[in-house]
Amino acid sequence: MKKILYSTAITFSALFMGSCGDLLDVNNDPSRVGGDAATLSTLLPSAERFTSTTQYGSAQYGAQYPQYLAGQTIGQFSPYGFDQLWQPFYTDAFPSLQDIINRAEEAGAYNYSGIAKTLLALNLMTVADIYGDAPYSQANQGTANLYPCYDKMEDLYRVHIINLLDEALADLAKPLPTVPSLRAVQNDLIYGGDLAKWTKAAKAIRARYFLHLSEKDPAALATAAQEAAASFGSFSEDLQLVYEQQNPNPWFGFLGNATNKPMQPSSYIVDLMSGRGGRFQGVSDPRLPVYMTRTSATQTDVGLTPGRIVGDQTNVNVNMTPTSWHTRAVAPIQFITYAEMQFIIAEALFNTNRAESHAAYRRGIEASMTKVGVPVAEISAYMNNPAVALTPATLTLQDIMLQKYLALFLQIETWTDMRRYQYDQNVYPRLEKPVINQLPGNPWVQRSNLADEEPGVNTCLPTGVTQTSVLWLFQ
Amino acid sequence: MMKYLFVLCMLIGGFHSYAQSRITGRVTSGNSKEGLAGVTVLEKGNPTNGVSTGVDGDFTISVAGPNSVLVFSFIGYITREVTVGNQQNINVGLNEDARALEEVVVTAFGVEQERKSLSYAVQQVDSKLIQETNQPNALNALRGRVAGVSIQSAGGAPGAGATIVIRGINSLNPSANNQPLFVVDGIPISNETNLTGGRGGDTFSNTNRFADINPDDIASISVLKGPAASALYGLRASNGAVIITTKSGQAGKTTFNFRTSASIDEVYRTPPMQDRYGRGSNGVYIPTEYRADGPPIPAGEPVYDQWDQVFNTGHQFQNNFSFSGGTEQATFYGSVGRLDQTGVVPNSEFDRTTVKIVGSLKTSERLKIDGSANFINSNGTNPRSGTGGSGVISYASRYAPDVNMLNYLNPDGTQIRYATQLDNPLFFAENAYQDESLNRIIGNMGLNYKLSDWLSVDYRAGIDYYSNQRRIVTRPTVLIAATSRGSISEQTLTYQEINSNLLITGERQLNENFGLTVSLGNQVTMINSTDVTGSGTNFILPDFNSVNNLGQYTVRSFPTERNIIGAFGDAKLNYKETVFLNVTGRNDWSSTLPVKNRSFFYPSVSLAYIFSETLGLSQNRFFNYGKVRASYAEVGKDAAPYLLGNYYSTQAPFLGVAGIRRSETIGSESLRPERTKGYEFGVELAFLGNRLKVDANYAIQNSVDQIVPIPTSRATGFTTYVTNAGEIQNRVLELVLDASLVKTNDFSWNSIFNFTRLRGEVLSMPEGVDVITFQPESPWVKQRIQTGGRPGDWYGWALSRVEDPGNTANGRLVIVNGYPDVNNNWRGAALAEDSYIGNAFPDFEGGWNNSFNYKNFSFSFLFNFRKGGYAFDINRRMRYGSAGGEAPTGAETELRNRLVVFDGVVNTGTVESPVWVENTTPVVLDVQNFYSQSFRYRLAKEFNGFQEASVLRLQNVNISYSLPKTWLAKTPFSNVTASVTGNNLWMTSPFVGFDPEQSAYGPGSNVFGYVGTNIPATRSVYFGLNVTF
Repeated sequence: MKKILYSTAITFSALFMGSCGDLLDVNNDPSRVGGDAATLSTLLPSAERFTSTTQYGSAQYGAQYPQYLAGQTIGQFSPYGFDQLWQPFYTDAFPSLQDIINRAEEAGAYNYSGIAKTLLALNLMTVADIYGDAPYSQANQGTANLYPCYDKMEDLYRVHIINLLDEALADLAKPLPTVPSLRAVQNDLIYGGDLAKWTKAAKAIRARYFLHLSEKDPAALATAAQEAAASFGSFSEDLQLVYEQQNPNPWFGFLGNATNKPMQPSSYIVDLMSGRGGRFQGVSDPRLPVYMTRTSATQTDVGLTPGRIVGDQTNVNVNMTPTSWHTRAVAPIQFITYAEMQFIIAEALFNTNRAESHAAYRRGIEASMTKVGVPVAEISAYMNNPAVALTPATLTLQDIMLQKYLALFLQIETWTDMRRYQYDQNVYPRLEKPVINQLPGNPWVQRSNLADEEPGVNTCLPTGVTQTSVLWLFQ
Repeated sequence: MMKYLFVLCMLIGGFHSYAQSRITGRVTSGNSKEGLAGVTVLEKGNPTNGVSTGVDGDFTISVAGPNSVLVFSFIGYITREVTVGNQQNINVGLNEDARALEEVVVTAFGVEQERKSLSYAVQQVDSKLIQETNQPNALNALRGRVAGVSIQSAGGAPGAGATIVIRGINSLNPSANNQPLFVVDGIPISNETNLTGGRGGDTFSNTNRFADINPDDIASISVLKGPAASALYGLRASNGAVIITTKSGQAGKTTFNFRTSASIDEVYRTPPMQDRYGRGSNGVYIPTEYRADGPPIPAGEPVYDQWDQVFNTGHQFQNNFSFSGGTEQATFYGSVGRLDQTGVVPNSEFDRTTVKIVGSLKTSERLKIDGSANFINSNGTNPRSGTGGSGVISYASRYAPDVNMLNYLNPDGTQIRYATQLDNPLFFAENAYQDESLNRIIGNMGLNYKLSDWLSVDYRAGIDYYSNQRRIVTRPTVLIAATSRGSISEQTLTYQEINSNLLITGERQLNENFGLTVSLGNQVTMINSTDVTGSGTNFILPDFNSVNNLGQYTVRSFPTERNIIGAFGDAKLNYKETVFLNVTGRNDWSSTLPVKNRSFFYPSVSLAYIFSETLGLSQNRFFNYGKVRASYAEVGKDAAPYLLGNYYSTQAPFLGVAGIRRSETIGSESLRPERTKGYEFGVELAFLGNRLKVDANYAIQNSVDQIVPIPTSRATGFTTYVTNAGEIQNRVLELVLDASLVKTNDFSWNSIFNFTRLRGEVLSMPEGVDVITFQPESPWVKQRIQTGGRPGDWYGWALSRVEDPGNTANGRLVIVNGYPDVNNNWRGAALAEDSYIGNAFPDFEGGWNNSFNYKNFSFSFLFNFRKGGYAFDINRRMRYGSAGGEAPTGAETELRNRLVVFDGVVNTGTVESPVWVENTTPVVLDVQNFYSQSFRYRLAKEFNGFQEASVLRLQNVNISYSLPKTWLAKTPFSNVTASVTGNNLWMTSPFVGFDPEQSAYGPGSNVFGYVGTNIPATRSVYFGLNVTF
């Protein structure tokens, strides 16, 4: 009896005591790593893709406001909207970029921090242009601040974006790090580690920044032109991420290859490119068949009237397809381009240096066309058409902004341009409000609603936000 | 731990025996010659001197002398006292105690206890009731039978899972697993569901793993509802426990049993569809338009019913063969089961083969060994369904009535797609599906050693291992493959759980009045799982369904490990078999919590008092039994693995480069165990010599310090923060009435009624989080959890009505511009502000089972009911979006494109002082406005598919006939029974749509009330034959 008890006790305790520690110390996830295992060269490609996603997302949700595309209801209770952008920006792009900045500064790897600050500035400006006020100085602090308050759009512009851009340029100019493994930037999906190109990209973003800021500080126009001139030398230096067959451009799945296309090219852009628009009348734009595909035998291209639902208008015969330039599988997501720089110069110098303005206008069109593969002969024909060619004397702001509109097809920047001019028909002739708009009073949409994810989880929200309130920058 | 061993040693050391004269004898049952095993034989006045009788009823005991009195007691028998005198051999016959509640129920760790000694709520369901439903998923067989327990099936897809919730939702987390612990023959097994896409989506009606168990192998299922009952099982039983006892061999003649059944399964409830208008837009016929907004379909043109076309008849074939036998020393049981099922939509089938072998051996009077092995293989295929718009049911609900769904293939095998927005549901079913196979082994081995007459050691170890291969195919020919150009995911899920249970039990009659049972135990649980998925996109060849056929693919692996060590003690003290006190304590050590918090203790105490004994009522002809019981218990609960801190994970390669990123979830480094605390009060009464039994129970359970992933502002850099926060209380009233209404030799009628009323309440929320919203169907409806609310609270918009009791217009619709206004928008209420519109959980629910036996016939039927509670029909907005749906009355189709004047009032005054006048503005009910899902008033709860989901259902009817024994006398058969069973034969509900009791979110999810997208449940009629020989 005693023997049995004794052996039971031994077995019992051996079973328990012997295995106790080993059994319980198993709470490290074998499929993930801790923060100390992360490196700059593995964070960078993720951060670049995340930035591409924010740029795509902004354009996807915002494509109807500048009337590039049409087909979905514009309404205050549409389940889709810019709120889908909150997570790509704040949980994906921003923390990854900030992570790179922190680690790079600690390691003295200013080549990495310069790139990350450039991209962070671009992201932050995109967010500010869509939402106005947005979290920045209290953001990305994890559990240390669960309720980040929003920075004023004015502070984002006057303090944070420009600081990032200044620091980006400064970092990119600093000596390369001493650690051999950090000297060359690895896994840079955009420029392959070419810091000279990153410097030009930073200047391009500065040009866009100063153009925006000129709404408040007219003197910034000149700076914008200078920065633009110091940026890209040609469209081959554009800041963009090119996709691959295996990982197609997100437009490809959303519109290009989709059988069920929720949006179609709008009548505004189709008319403009067909010579039926407010300018360039009678000129067919050779980019039209590159940008979109005609789906019927009819020789006239017809776009969908803004406000109409896809399918409502049976004579619409153009669509985004797998062969359309922007919605191909291997198309780039363009963050900021040489063509945009030229139109910035054209706009900024319009009143001060008309000759250079006109030259930049022409360079912008040419770059836009060459980039998308329009044959040289067709480019010449288009450029030489009097309705396009114009002279410094006959050039109008309309021409610059409309050519910029065409060159920046499916980029969210155009929406900012339109709001800078408050959808002015003198700048964007024949621009009409959507025929059906569920926002009471059919106003022009000025900004995104508060991100849907925010109420209920953030106690520090701005109040009184509506889609029709004009952002600080555009007031 | 050593502390417990020490206590054990003290306990053992405390008893001595001092016997002098030796008595042998045998105890038999009544006047029969059959020996009674396990009868307690005690020397009166010397409670430490006692033995139990052996298998044949034999016993040997030493007593002080001739004046000693032996007390013979046994469950269900009248206790007898015999004075020893000069006898050295005493043979005693014990008479059955007709008064006792003879029921023995299985409680924690497989301990069988008399129901009368229980001080907490347990309800047991026997094999007959489980098998006669013919449900291949045994969980479904419990539906409507157990008070406090709610069971919902995920639908009618073959192999579809079912979800069980005991005493309400107790987590703030919409995607938390609220499932109880499942224990088979003393060893926990997995009831994981592994929903595709995680909890929160049920795309392929994946099964819950308890459904692997062959219902024919089950002897009984007992449900331990509250923490008091399940405290000994520890943290994994904090949602209760379902204890399954399987069949084992019976000593005696070897018997063979063969049971077969075949079924006819049909969808019994479909939403009404309009059949008047065909394809088109604004009344114009457009053959490529998916919406039914065209002109009226001309007379004579064919019109098709979408549901008739997409659904066909399903079948189940179940065959089970088992054998059982043995001797007093060794018994065995073996079974082979096979289920073949085809579903009601194309490309949907399931089969399951189970093999089970059970054996036990008594090597001596002291040592008993038993073991069992259960092998399960299942294979299934189901097309994609689920809450998104891309599913078989969703596509069918949007098909125009003038299109023949069955005509969907071109001669070259490509799809005839009449509109670019829709895939043909039948084509889709063949080209977007999941097939899976499962191999599972559940084995356990146990030994029981009697150290002495009163002390025994029970050790049991078991393993549950399964490997589940899943392949999700989305061919490039369907719309959802636009981005992927065809995708395949091949996933291998493995799960391994090893349990070791040691239980040492000492049982003594301390003296005439007090009996004590003390158990000490140790439990070690080791759970390992792996999830390896190879998935990719871009089909190379069109018809080659393998990951090897993909242009791009990645492999991901997610192993987990979770270990728990528990030590527990259980003391039961009874006073004169009248008052029962039970105290337990358990300490758990869990690997998933921070080191400083991973050890935690929780106690329970419960008391039962059979007052009818004290009052001497046991012979009372009207009221013969009464017991009250009360308990308090706590159960701790650990976290899921790897929730602490923050990790970085790798990303899929892009341009040949793979990056990494910080995970979106951050977990508190000081996470504490979550706790469930419960009070329970119950009463059991028996009347008319046990002909009517009442068991009522009221329980209050609080789940505090919940480990919840709190959604955070994305601007923190994270989407989710895991911490301890919040408290939910569930108050539940459970009532079971069991009446033996007629009991004669030839005829009996037994009726069991159960009733549950459950109220959940959120007592507190995580700091700073006002509300946790679950809103996949926003803006139509949202579910919100907030302080003071209940889990399952719905928010949305209602049509605006005049709220002015003094006004004659009070209660009438507010009309603006001819259309009804919503959410008081007329007086400036923002549409973003929702209001409470209802709750997903019923006011009360229950079931009523009746069994009749007349000679060789038996007949039973089970009704279940739920009153109140709302469900949102996801499918309805799809039907309406395509103008195919039909209002209940048909009035909307009648009115389409006509001018109507809404019956309501218009405000001609101001918002502050409104003046209501009759609405006279006619509006056209055109499809664009009237049916469009985004049209404002379509969003109102009155129109968007949000409806009351009360149900009265004839769940199960069974008729069987056994051939008279006299007929069988000269055959080798001892029993031949033929039966016809019907499930879901009839139901009534105000809900328009599919059956509202099928959660779209699948088993294991905490989300209830979203319905209408899964493959619907079926009405099944089974024809069965059972032969024993």
